[in-house]
Amino acid sequence: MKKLILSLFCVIFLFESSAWAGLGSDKTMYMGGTVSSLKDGTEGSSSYKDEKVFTFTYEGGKFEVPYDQINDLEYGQKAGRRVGVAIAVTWMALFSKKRRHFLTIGYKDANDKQQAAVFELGKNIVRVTLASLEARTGRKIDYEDDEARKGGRGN
Amino acid sequence: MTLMKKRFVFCVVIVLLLSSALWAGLGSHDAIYVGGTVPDLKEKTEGKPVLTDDKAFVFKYKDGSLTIPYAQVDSLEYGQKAGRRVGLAVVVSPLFLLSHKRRHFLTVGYTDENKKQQAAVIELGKDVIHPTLTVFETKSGKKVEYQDDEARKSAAEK
Repeated sequence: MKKLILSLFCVIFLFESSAWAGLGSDKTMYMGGTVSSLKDGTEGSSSYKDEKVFTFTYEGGKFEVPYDQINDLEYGQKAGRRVGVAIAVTWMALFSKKRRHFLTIGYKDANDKQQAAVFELGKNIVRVTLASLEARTGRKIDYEDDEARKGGRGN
Repeated sequence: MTLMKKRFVFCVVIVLLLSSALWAGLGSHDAIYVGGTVPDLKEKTEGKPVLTDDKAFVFKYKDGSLTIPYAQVDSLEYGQKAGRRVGLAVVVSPLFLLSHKRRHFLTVGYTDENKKQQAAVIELGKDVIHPTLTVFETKSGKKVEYQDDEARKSAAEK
């Protein structure tokens, strides 16, 4: 019986998002781009709270893009099957998809050079981030396709 | 009931009560300010949508209210997020993985009193979706943009 209780807690814990190695649902990751000061795969948090600049804060630093320098916003998704969960927990997980959300920001830097930064967004901040960026920059998001448009509005 | 069985039942009850995945649901007549550019309003603030005012949509929360004049609204978008009932699947039956739990999001774009563009993403409880969208459309004169046909159908049914 003790084993049963223990396994119940283990399974619950496994399903908690924080227990998974993927990007946290409220986190942001710099995937890559032309920003020399940022390493690919840097994890942090993004914020649109400031009225003037979009901020990506990571351990040891901060990266900012003024909204009035942003000239391109693109959003796309990558969907994959939950193979790991299917193997570890139940094959039924194969029926569901895990989506990753990517935001590309094109902007001019302080030297008027065109730059691009690709961020992966945690699933709980996609919609809010896109809506806020549109409001702050006055630019519309370019959706990769209808599926991305649906995903961007539904999160 | 043996002591061990009692302990097991107690554990299940505690897990059920505490599991955010299970009970994080929003009340069907409530709303949550999920996020956006509204100054001084914290993300994930829970409150109630007030649709009775002729001039403005009011989101009433514990410590105050957010007022969006209908005349200042320039965009309305409605989308859904369907998730699996993972918590119930773990605790009750794996068959719950086959059912979806839907969350409903309304994004309101508007200009504030300083003529600055703002955006507010509001999650709506299932019983206030249709009235909220209808009132917004009627009073703002703007059409709601639906994420897809599924969202349009779902909003009409609520």
